[in-house]
Amino acid sequence: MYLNELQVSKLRNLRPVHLTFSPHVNYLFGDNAQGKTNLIEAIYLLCLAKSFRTRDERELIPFDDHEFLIEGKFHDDEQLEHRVVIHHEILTGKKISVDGKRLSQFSKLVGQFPIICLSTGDHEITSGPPAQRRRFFNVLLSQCSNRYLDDLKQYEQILKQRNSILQRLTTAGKEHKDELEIWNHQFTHFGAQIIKSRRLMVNELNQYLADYYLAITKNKWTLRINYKPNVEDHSDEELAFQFSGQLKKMASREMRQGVSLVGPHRDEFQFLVSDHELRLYGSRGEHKSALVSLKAAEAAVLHSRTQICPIMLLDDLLAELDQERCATVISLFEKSSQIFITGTTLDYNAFQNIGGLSKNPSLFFVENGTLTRMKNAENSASYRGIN
Amino acid sequence: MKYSSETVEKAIHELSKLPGIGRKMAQRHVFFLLKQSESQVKQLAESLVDLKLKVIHCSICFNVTESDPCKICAGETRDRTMICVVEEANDVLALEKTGEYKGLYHVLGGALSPLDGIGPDNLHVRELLLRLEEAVQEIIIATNPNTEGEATALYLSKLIKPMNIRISRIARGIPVGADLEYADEVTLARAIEGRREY
Repeated sequence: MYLNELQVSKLRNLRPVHLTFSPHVNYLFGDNAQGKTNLIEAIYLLCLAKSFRTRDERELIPFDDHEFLIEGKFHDDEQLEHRVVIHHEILTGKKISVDGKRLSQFSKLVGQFPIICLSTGDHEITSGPPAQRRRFFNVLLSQCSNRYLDDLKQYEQILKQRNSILQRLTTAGKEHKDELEIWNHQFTHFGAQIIKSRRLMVNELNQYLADYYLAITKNKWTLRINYKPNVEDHSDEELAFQFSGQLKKMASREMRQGVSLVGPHRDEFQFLVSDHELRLYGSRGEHKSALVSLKAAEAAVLHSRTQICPIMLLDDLLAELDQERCATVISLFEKSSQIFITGTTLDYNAFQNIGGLSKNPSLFFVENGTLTRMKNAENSASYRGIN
Repeated sequence: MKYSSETVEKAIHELSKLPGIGRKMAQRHVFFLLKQSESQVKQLAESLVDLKLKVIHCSICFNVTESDPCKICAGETRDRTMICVVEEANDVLALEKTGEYKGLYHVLGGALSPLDGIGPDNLHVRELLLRLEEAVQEIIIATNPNTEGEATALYLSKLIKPMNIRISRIARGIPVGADLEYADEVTLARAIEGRREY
């Protein structure tokens, strides 16, 4: 599956543009703050209905305007075209349509066009707080299965309801104690589903992680993820039961603190490089390699689960890794997936010199919100001359 | 933009307070009404005022009614051993349209939602329990199939179970007339979860 055409009418600083992309490697280059990441963001929005940079989508609306509009045409493996349109008007809100049909829920878009994004904020996945790791797993699992997304939505809703009871309990006393129990049943049911899905996913990622880490770092260390669910458990069958047992044990503490203390919303995932925790002992380079390996494993799992090759967005990849490692990463995917890479002009020169791009990539020059497609590699050489 | 007539402006403002009606829609309705005869508009206005003057809640089942008890509770042909519990009065209407159900109803007036400050005391639960002391043999819980509706169903079933009354929960799953291949993943998965034995 690949994005064939993209039409951005209004989005952040981007000038109206209509582009056709290569099904293989697309390289977007230009100086800083010219709009490269905005284009990556547009593609991400078309696939997941959300931005990876902000929760408040009004930020995406250009200054002095009241809406943003993106349109993309994807080609699936049978060469059928799918048209996705996202329109956000400040008063009426966001509307998404796929093949001319308006989506009643945005979550229906998730998973139809699998996508992997490596952006500059992603270093938090290996080095940041646990919430970042849970978010990574939530996005991946939601793309693999709508069922997971629904479980998660229900779980989060129950969590809110539950916390609101707990808050009242801390202030008003024990009279709502029975009420808590009513919510526990659904809480443990959906919570257990989430934990099961996450465990399966960690196992699947681990099948690829070590190999990719080895290929990228070329040293003998291994990388794997250790899932530490907040609910201690022995088997999937007993999980919901264990969960409610733990809730009972923690009941008085929960009531004192006024928040839910047990459940997958407090899960942790450890990245282990040769059994040492990366977050505590990893060097900057190890973090970068681990992150890229993780994204590569993510792509492999997404492909095997959905039977669709995901689109890869690699924002500022060259800033993250040295050229040789970049070349390895790209070689892992250029055969199967469509790749978008952003970088500065200088990056690209260096990149070509080491033969990082075996297939001739499509080149796009980004300047001041305007995107221009370059005819071929020679033309970009003249740009190099200017710089 | 505002209209020069304050009366028009006020009517638009009032109409746009209704759910699902924005300012544009309200404008269209107002100009439609302006073209109607005085008697037609009066009829509409009177029917709206009557809503508040004449409609009350049934003291037994809390359905909306003009006579207390309501027609269903007073009906001679209804099966008095069955009560169907619903969240809102319009759920009664939906179930009545089916013509399938011949028992009585009980309107809770909402579902449990601590976030909105709705606990068991804010629903007509105590009244339901009082009704169960009579000849009721079966309860059907027909709250909505969302987290709040499920929690309410669970709460009621826990309360009622010791009373030795049959309790059931309405089934959820594939809509009638729909093909399996067109049902979305989530609905299908939940339908399999709630499958029943033949």
